[in-house]
Amino acid sequence: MVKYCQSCNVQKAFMVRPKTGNLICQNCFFQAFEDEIHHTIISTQMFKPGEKIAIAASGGKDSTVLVHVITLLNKKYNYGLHLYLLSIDEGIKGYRDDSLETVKQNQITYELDLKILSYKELFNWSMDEVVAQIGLNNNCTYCGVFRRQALDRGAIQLGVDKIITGHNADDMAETFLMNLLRGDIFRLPKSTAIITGDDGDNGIATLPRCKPFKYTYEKEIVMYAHYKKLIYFSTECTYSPNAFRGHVRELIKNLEAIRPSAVIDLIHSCEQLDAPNQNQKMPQKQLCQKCNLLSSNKICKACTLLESLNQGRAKQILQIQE
Amino acid sequence: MQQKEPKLCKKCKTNNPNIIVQKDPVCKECFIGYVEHMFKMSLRLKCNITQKNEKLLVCFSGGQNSTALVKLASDVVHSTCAHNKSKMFIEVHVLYINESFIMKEFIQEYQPQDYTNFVTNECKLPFQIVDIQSIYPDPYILLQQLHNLSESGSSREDFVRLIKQHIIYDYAIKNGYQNVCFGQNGQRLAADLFSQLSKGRGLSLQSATKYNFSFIYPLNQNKLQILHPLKELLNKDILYYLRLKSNLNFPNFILGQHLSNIVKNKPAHGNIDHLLEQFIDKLQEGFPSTTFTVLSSAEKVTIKPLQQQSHCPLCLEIRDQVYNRLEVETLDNSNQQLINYLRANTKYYNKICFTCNRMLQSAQELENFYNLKGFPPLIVQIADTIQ
Repeated sequence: MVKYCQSCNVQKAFMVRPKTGNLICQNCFFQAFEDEIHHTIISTQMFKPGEKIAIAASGGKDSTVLVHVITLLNKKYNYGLHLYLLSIDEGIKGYRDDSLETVKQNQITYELDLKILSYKELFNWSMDEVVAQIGLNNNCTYCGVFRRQALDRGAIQLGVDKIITGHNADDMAETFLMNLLRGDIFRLPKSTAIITGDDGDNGIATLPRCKPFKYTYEKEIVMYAHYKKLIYFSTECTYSPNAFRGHVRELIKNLEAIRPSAVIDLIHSCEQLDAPNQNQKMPQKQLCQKCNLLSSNKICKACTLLESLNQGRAKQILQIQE
Repeated sequence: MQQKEPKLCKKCKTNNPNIIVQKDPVCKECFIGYVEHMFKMSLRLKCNITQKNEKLLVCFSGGQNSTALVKLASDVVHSTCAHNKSKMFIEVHVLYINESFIMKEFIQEYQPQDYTNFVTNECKLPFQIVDIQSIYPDPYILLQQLHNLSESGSSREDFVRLIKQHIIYDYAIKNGYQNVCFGQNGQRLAADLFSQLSKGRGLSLQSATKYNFSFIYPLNQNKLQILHPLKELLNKDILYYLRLKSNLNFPNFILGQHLSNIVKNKPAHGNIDHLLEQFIDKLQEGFPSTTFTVLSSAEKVTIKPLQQQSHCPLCLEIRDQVYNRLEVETLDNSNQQLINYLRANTKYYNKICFTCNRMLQSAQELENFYNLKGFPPLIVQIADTIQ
């Protein structure tokens, strides 16, 4: 028996839509996927005409689809945005060097300017060197902190107004549950915030980060990339640990299998939360005394981690000299 | 060669230890003493049960947690605690909701359990049994509604839970009980919290895991105190306590598993509550501070102020706010028409909260649900009262 698309009732269904569990044809899927991202952008007033936007591009599926869709919607709906690609080379051989080739391909395909910053040139440390120094414990902490700062620095160099990242609904739901499990009540309400860093606390200007894929499922991103024949790099990071996040990721996948709307339901739950009350001591935003970038302490986390790495290197050099 | 001294109970320093309680090895006797002491302190200090002759309605399901709760309540009332014999001058009544009517429908091999001997003879507490179908004018409507709900995603289990909740609150108010006590331990509360969050009930973060939270019954604005005095305990504590104190056998019927007809091709038989129980239990084994971190975080979280504080007539929770259309619908035309139709053509669509809407999605005869057709008069009355 022929099954028809439950959206248009005309075309034959070609897949089950992960978000709804309904049958859908290819055209309706592409249309809905793009319309929902467009609605996310418009309803949250994410951009203003004339703004310069840096797209954080890693060459993976999320950022590749992000580049494609934002470029498409920018033209279709006349957002008036100036788009740039911003990539960070963490210095992981066999992983990042390969994925950056995909980003360079995207640069050509979408005719966008590309800026690549490396950990080595920014911090004088590549991730391979960091892991050689500290081992496989806490290496993701270093990478995450450095990447955040690297993106900020790259965005400042490009002179952009905002950064957009490919964080999707599954990522947001995972982050929400992880913050609850870790007891991080300060980050909890912001776990699913679509724009972060735009609050300008204490008069300190920060570069806003936007997440147009907030209501977009990871599975749908993969399907969109696959059926649109987009080229992306799909290998996991070499240093992916058996992380705590893995437990939560598995939970989200199982929840989705039982009830497709569970991911959005988690986001909806998080949306009900407010900032911690005034009785809780909130970290104060200030500028780092070393690098002059945003920090919640006198010295930011990146500078603190760098100092510990450099001290370790100094000790090694002394030992060799002895 | 110096021999290692054998470890002794951390509390009495005399006996050999049998169980670890909050990283300390303790013996059986000290463990029972710890549980009894913790229960009394919870009731007095955390649940504010301080007045003489205060009335407590203890909700009993026949499961392990509520059995432990009834046993402890009996010991404090009759001063039969193993250690500290000080009595609490409170009035405890036990309420049991008999689900046999629906269990027989969904489980072929179901055998009804009789708890009268345990509650009345062993624990010597007044015992009230209410049949779950008694709230319905036509009890077979309840079975029909359960069959109409989706077998996956805990929809049926959630529906049964909210019917039971209505029965409990109505009973408590009609019989003058201001305090309603549930037996969930800390680990269960953490799992329940995650389960509620996964169903979109973010507002439950402010109340679902508290020792004591105030609930205003929407029908007559009566205030109820909902208590969780066993919040300090974990699953293993309850199991060990029962092993030492009770001879009851716990049947293997897991209501949820069977109401879902054992959905074979989905994780945890398609039951969200079981999935989250397994998740928390697994994490608790690998990371022993999981439960208390979650409960502590939930205590400190604040909720965004709501424009309107009105209740959902089904679950009695406060209706939350939808901040973006994409939380409720997709833009592929597959559900917008249905939502618009229900909004325009049913009496109570706009009064049902986000999570109850999710419970009802994929149900058959949706109009009957949103018109509360065949529902208990109590629920219809509440729906008509609510703005």
